[in-house]
Amino acid sequence: MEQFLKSVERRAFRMAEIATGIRDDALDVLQDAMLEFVRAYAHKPREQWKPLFYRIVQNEIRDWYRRRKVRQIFVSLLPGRRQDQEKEEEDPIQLLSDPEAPDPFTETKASEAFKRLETILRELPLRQQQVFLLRAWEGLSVGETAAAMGCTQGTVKTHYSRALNTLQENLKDNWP
Amino acid sequence: MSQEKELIGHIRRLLDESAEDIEAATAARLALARSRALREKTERRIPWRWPALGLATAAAAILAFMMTFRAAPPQLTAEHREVLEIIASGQNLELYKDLEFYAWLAKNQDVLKGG
Repeated sequence: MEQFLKSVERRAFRMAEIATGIRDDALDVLQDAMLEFVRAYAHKPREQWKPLFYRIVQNEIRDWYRRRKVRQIFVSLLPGRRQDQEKEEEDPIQLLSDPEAPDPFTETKASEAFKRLETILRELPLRQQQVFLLRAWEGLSVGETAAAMGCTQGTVKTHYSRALNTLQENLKDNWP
Repeated sequence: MSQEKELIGHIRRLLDESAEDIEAATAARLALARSRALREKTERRIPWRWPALGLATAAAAILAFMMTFRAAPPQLTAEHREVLEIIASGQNLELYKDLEFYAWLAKNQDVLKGG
């Protein structure tokens, strides 16, 4: 089990980070997913672990979006917030400084090509983004991806194809 | 088709590099989360439904309070109804911890503005 988690944790973390856009939240998603996965599915056959693990990761990401939506509504109801509604709602929790944010030197080390890719992936609709990452990066089959995402295989194919088209269109000048 | 394969190969390489290059602090937190998950494998999970139900009730009350005591109470929109449904479902304990912060913030707005 430990070897399995080790083998997937970094990719799963990056997927959660691309989905949430916030490193700490991505770490929380992964922590909760690992706990839930080990508790619920450790007894399952090993060949089922990967789609089951990603199913939990996807559920955690969906919960994160729902929590964010509730936060935004609560923030919009705070006294004095109504006048600022033309601006995008700011979440006070997100305004707190991140003591573990990477320093600028570390940031500049990240490749420009990856940053470009990350930006395009983040702009994709969440389900397209996650289907693409599960299929193209994690190497799940259409059936495994459908199981992880809780949708049909047809939906997986549609999301994947749309995501690929968008990436082809936007990356055509950025890859050899 | 080969262009598509090339593109996917290129994307995979970039993503693999990004996973390899995770900062040491983040890698350490992932390792900690992993060992915590493995350690708690055999521990019994605390039933969460009852505390969650209590917190859900409190959260709904906070939302009602915030809407009632605004200068101009807003209409209950579809979005508000969706939020109430999420709260009432009591599915996520973590959410209610956030709501405590917002309740505190609503109560202390004036203090914060002054400070």
